[in-house]
Amino acid sequence: MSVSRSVAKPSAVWLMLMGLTLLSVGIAEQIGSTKIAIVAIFLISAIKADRVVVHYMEIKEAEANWQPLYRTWIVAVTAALVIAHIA
Amino acid sequence: MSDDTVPLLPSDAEAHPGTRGIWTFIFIDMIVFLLMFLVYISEKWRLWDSFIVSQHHLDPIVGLASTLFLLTSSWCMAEAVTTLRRDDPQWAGYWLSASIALGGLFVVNKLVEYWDKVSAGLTPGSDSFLMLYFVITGLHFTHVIGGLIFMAHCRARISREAGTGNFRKKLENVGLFWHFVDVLWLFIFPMLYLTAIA
Repeated sequence: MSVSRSVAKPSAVWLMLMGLTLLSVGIAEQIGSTKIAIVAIFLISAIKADRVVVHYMEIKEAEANWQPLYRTWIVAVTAALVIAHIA
Repeated sequence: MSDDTVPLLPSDAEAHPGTRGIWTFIFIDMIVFLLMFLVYISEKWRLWDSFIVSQHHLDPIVGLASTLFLLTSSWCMAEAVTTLRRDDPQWAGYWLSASIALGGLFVVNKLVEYWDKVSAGLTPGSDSFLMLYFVITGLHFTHVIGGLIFMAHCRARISREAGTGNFRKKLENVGLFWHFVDVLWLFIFPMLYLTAIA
């Protein structure tokens, strides 16, 4: 297979994703549903989604037009959810 | 003309993961879910207090379990694709089986959750939050089922077809779809389970 792998090892990405997931739940449980906590939780979701798109979906190896579209979607969803909860 | 002489993929197919079609399909599906998220946000703004009360019916630990199952399943799928590229179909099959099993755990967890809710009288007709909860997670659930069916199809054929470029591309496409399903849940989980502002 000739797709060059400019991505991290899947297992390393998984560890990071698990850690970030537990962090976001910890924030929700310990800090509660304050606006700062909500923003942190959604930013963590955005980071996780971006890591999946980059390292598991290998979007940097896809045809050039997809990367800005997919990553803009992540930004759009995150922005909408953050604004909805802090406005 | 036999199938062997008709190229099913463009000449630069090996240079990119998946096919143009799957990237297009996934992106269109992402737009659909974005619109659903906007509907959810609009309703929550309109019925804020009602949503906060109803969100407390959900157990974040159940949602966490679903997240961990799906993330780990996604990891296994990534390993399956990587292993197949290294021409090790046996281990690719093992990783694919693990991915399917973890996806199955997500399905069981979600069905138990739905049953708990309905048994407690919490249905899509109960209030706006629950309607959107069932619709959004239900639509996501259908994607999970679809992904598992595609994965099972690949698992059944990997021994026979692993050496072909078309099968590798098929597995990449299935993998991309599965990771997309995971990405959706990464937003659905906090949106529904972690944001009950008192």
